[in-house]
Amino acid sequence: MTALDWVALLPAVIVLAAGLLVVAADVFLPSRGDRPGVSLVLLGFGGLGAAGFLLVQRLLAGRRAIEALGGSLVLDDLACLLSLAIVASTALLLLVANADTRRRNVAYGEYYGLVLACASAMMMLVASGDLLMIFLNLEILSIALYVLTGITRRNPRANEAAVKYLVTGAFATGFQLFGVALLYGATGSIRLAEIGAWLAAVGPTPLFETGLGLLIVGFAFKIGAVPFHMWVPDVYEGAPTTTTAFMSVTVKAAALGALIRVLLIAAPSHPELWADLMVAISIATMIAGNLIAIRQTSVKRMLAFSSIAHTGYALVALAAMQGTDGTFSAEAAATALFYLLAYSFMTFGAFIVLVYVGHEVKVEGRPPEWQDAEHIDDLAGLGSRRPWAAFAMTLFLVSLGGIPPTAGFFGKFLVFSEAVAQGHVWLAVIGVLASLVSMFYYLRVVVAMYMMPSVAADEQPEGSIAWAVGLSAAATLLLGIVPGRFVEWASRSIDLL
Amino acid sequence: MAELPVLSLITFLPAVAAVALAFVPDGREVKGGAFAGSVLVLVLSLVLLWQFEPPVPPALAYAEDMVWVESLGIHYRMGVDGISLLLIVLTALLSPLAMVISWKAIHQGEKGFHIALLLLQTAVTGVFAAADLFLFYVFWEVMLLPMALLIGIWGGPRRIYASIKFVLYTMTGSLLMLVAILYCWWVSGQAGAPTLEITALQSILPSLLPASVEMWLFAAFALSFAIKVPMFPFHTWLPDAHVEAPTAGSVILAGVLLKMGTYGFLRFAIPFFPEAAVAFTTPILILSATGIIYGSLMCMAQADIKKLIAYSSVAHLGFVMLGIFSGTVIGAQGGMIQMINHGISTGALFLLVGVIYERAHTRGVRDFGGLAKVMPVYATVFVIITLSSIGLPGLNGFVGEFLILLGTFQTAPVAAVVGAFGVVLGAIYMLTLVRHMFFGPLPERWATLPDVTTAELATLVPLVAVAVLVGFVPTPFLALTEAPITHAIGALNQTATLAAAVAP
Repeated sequence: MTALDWVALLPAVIVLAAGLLVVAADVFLPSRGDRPGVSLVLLGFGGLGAAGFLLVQRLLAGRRAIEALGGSLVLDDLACLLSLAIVASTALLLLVANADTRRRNVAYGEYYGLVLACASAMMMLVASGDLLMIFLNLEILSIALYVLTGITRRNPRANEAAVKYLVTGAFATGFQLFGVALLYGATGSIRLAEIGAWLAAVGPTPLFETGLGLLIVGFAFKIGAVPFHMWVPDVYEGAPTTTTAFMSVTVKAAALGALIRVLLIAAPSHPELWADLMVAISIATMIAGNLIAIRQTSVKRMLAFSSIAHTGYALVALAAMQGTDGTFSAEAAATALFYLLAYSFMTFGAFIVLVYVGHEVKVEGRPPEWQDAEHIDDLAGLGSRRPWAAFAMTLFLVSLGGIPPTAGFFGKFLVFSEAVAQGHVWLAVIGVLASLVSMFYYLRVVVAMYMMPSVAADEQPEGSIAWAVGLSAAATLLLGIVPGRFVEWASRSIDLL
Repeated sequence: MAELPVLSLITFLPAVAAVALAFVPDGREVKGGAFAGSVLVLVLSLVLLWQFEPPVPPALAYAEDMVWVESLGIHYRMGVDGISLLLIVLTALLSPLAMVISWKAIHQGEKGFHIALLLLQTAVTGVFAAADLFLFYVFWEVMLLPMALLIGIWGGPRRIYASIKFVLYTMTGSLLMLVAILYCWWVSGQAGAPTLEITALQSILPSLLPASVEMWLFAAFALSFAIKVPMFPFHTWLPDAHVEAPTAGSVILAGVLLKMGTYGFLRFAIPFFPEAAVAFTTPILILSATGIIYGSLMCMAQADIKKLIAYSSVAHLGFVMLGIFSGTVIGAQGGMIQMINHGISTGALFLLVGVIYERAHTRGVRDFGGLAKVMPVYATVFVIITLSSIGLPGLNGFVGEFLILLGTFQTAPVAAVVGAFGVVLGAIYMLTLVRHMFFGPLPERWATLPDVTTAELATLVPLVAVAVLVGFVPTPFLALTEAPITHAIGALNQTATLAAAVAP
C-alpha cells in the first residue's frame, strides 16, 4: 500500500481503530462501576473528532480526489461530505449512548465498538469506487446493526426486530449480490468508472439492465423505499431508540450516498434506465409513508413511517436527474445530498427527544432497560414540564414538515425546485401535498406536548442527552438559516465526480 | 436613517425580545418586557410613517439587499411602499393592544403566550416588509406555528380542532404556492439569472409566461391568498379559529393576518399574472359578492357574539376583494382603506368582546340586555365602533365602502348593487347586536357589572381615534396608496378607458 492509500483510508481507519481500542480498553482497564471510564469516552470522541477534523480540512481546502487501493476507494468531496454527516451523527449518538447503555444494562464497551465499526464501514461505503467494496461495506454495517438492534438481549421486541432485520436484510443482500454478478458478467468489470465507460460505449443490454435493476432493489431495501419498506416500521419500533436513530439517519444517508455514486458514475449515459424507476419509487414512497404514518399512535413508529416518506423526498431529487425532455443533469443529486444532511439532524433530534422522554417517564410493568418513550401520551404535557425539550421537538417536527426557517424547509425547497426546473412539476405537487399530510401527524405530537395535561415524570435525564438534543436543534436551525456553505459543498461534490 | 436597516429592526425586534424573554423567569418582567418591546416597535414604525417619502413604483423605500445563499442567488431583500407600510403600522399598533388586553385574560403560561405573540408579530411584519419572494414565503410560513399555538394552548373548548384546521387550511394553499414560486424562479432563470426579487418578477414574468401556465400559477397563488382572506367558500376555518382563539389571537388574526391574503393579491397575484387576473376577475367578483351576502346572513343567525364578528369579517373582506378586483384605482384604494378599517374596527370589536367575556363569562347575544345602564363608557365605545363598522359617514368604514362601491359600480354594476345590499345587511345585524346587548331590560345578574377599567379603555381609545381620523381626513392615506395601487392592479385597471368613454 502506498502512502496515498493511507491518506484516503485514514478517516475511516481512525474511527475503526478507535472502536477496536475501546473494546480492548474495556477489557483491560479496571472497571469503574457502571460508568464508562474517561478513557473510553475520550477514545470514542477522539477518534471521531480526528476523522471529522481531517474531513473538514479537506472540504475547506477543496483538495483533489484521492484514489486508493487501485480505485476501489475514492476520497472525493462526495465521500468527505457524507462521511462528515456520518461522523457528526455518530458523535451525537455516542453522546446519548453513555446514559442510555447504563439504563438499558448494555455493556458500553461492546456498544461503542459496534457503533464505531459500523460508522467506519459507512465511511468506506460512501467512498467505495467498485461494486464489491460497496457490497462488503454494506454487509459489515448491516451485521453490526443486526447486533445493535438486538443488543437488549432479554427484550423480546428487540429480539424480534433483530431477527426480522436479519432475514429481510439477507434477502436484500441476495438481490444486491446477484445484481453485482450480472453487472460483472455484462461489462467485465466491477469498477464503477469502467462500467460507466462500457455503458457509454456499448449501450445497455438486457443483462446489464437486469443487473442494475437488482442492484437498485438492494439499495431500495436498505434505504427503506416503497415497496421494499415492510421491515422498517417493525425494526425501527422494536430496536432501542438510540439504535433506531442511528439506523434511520446515518445508515440511510450512507446507503443513499452510495446509490448516488453508483448512478452518477456507472450509469450517467443512460438515465432512462433508472430515472423513471426513481419517479415511480419516490411517488409511492412519499404517498405510502405519509398516509400510513397518520394512523400511528406510537411516535416511534410514526417517525419510522415518516423516515420512509423522507426517503421519498430525497428520491425526488434522483428522479429529477433526468428532465422530462430526456436531458441528464447531475446537479439534482446535489439537492439530494443537502436533503440528506438536513434530514439527518432533524430526524436524529426527534428520536433523541424520545430517548430523553424515555429516561424521564416510567411505563408500568416494564423493566427500565426496555423502556422507551413511544406512545404519544408519553409526550403529553412536555411543553409545561420540559419547555426546552418540547421546543426542540417542535423545531424538529416543524423541520420535518418543511416549515421555514429550518433545515427541512430548505431541503425541500432545493429538491422541489430542481424537480420543477427539470419539468417534473407534478412530482413537486405530489411532494408538497404529501408534506401537507405529514403536517397533520407532526402537529398531533405538538398538540400532545403543548395542549394536553402532563403525565407523571419524576426522573431527571442526564445532561449529555440534553446536549445531543441541543446540538441537533442548533444544526437544524443552522442548515435552515445559513445553508450557503453546505449547499456549495453539496454541489461541488457532485460537480467533481 | 437611510443607513440603518430600519425595516429589519422593526421586523426582528419582537423576535429578539421573544428570545430574551425565554431566559427570564415567568412573572411581571415578562409582561413588561414584551410590552416595552412592542411599544418600541410601534414608535419606530410611526417614525417611519412620518418620515416616509413615497417612492415611485415599482421602487421600494427603505430597501435592504443582502446576499443570503450566494450559489443559488437567493437574497435577503426588504422594502416597503405605501401599501405595506400602512399594514406594518397597523400590525405594530394592534400588537401592544393585544398584549394589554391579555394581562387579565391569560392566567397560565404567560411567558409562552407573550413569546408566541412576539414571534407572530415578527412573522407578520416580515410578510409585509419582504421584497423577495423567498423571504416572503419564509415569513408567511413562520406565522403558522405561533398562531396555531396561541389558538391551541390558550383558546376555548374546541381549540385543538380549530388550531389544526387553521394550520392545514393555510398550508394547503401555501404549499401549492411554493410550487408556483419555484416555477417562477425557474422561469426567471430562462431570461437571465434566476431571481425571486418581487419588483424584478413583476416586470419580467408577464412577458415570459405562456397564457396557460399563467392561469395555473395565478390559481396556485390565488388559492393560497383566498384561503387566507378568507374568500367564500374557503372561509370555514375562520369562524372556528376566531371563536376558539383568545382575545389577543382574534385581534391579531382579524386585524392583520387576514390582510396578508388581500395584500398577496395586490403585491403578487395580480402584478405577476395580469392576463390571468383579468380572466379570473368575474369569478372572483362573484365569489366576493357572494361572500358579502353570505357572511352578512350568517351574522344574523349567530347567537355567539364572537362568531358573529368572525362572520362579519368574511363580509368585510368580501368588500375588500370587490374593491381590488373592481378594475378601478378608486375601488382598489377603497379596498386598501377597508383593509385598514377592518383591522381597526374588527380588532376593536374583538377587544370589546374580550372585555365583556372577562366579566360575564358568556358571549351569548341574547344573554345580555340593558348593559348601557351599568357600563355606559363601554356602551359608548361599542356603539362608535359599530357605526364605524357599518360605514357611518364621518367614520372610517364609510370611506372604504363608499370608494369600493363607487369603483365597482363603474365596471361591475351588478356586483356593486349586491355589495350595497350587503351594507344594509351589515347595518341590520350590527344594530340588532347593539340593541340586544345595551338596550331593553337589564337582567338581574348583570346589575353589578363594572364598567371598563383604565387599562381596557387605553387599548380602545387609540383605535377609536384612528377610526375618527381616517373618517374625517382620509386624504393622506389615499395619497400614500394611490401610486402603488395603480401600479399593483396594472392590467386590471380600466380607469383610463372609462374616463375616455365618458369624455366628450
